[in-house]
Amino acid sequence: MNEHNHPAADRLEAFVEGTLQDGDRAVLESHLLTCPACQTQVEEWRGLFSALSSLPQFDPSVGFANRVMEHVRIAPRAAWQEWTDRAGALAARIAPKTNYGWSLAVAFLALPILLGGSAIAWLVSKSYITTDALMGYTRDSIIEGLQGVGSTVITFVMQTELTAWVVANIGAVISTAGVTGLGAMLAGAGSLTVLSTWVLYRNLFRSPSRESDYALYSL
Amino acid sequence: MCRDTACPGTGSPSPARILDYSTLTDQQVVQLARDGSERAYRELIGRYQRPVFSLIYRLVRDREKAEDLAQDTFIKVLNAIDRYNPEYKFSSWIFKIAHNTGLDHLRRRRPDTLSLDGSPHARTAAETEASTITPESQDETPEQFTENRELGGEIEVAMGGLRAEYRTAIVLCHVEGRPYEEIAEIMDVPLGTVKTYIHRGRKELMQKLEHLRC
Ligand SMILES: [Zn+2]
Repeated sequence: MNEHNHPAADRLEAFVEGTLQDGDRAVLESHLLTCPACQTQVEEWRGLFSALSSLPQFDPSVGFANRVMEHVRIAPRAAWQEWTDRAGALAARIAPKTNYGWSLAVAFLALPILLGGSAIAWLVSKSYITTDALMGYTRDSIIEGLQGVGSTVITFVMQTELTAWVVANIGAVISTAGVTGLGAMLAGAGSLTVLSTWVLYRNLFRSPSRESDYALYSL
Repeated sequence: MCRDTACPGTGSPSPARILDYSTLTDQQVVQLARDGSERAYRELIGRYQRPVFSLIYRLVRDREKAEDLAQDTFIKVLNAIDRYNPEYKFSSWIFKIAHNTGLDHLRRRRPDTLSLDGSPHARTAAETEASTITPESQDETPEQFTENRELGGEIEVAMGGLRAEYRTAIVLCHVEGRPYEEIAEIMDVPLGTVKTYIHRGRKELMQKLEHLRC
């Protein structure tokens, strides 16, 4: 850099603000040693920053608090509100803390339900159900019922059992159903996966807060 | 637990005064307010009346109007205190309401010139000028006199020529010392937009100050 290759105004601003990277700062500092024009600009930025940092706060007129309080209702919270608070705090402790956590939880909870659901739908559609398959169908129904309760632990256990059953019976499944039935099942599961991926995406890239987020109910 | 309403004693200082509210966090004071302590409400007003009034005053540049709008802000926030979501900073919440209250007023006053969506991308000086809110001219009142004293300085006049969004961003950054992330939350815009507001605002201030000095 020399007198004919001045750094951009943004750089001088960042330099004065102190947000310039070490390397960039060193380059700019050496340029400043030989460039009176940029020195002047740096001084102007410094002047602006010092003027901004000396901007005062203003007081409202005397009695402001009293005028506000005339319009404020002070009511101790009802007992039921304390209980909903506690329930909310408990839910907040149990619930995932981040969007990413939420997405994982939703994905893990949804997957067995989606797969189990499509398996059941497929089994029911068969007119010639073997004893093995019928037993599996009954068990699936119970599993789905329990999953409906929503307990994460139960879901996890049943998920592994379901997986084991599917793996153990995959040969029988294919021989009973034929390729068409299996294909339909996979297509169903596939489209549901696309749907859950979209939900995941929406959760991961959700935009930040709006005013309404600050109140538990709308203002 | 000893709270101001539950404590006996007639003379001052009453035992309740032993609890020093100034050492409590915003969240703790909010909790006391939710439990029905008037002192907690007044503590919140005491903490935020200057920052909130200052922000709104710089937005509307009219002392009387700013008092009304700051009052509205506090009434809105304090009457909704039992519904406040403590996951968020109280300061972000009240600044957000203050900024929106100020903007709503400006929009009502100048619906034709203030385009909140289009104006950040004003390309020419004329467009910028058109989307800028300038104080209305009026006869010199006592308020006007105070305003001239308070907002009549070089930098304040230059600030007055900035778009409302730039003003809020710069006041929150330079006067209130809020980090960019919180300003983004308050103004409900992405972080990059806050940086742009502040950067463009400063650049315009430089130009305006240069102009004022010439
Ligand atoms: Zn230079």
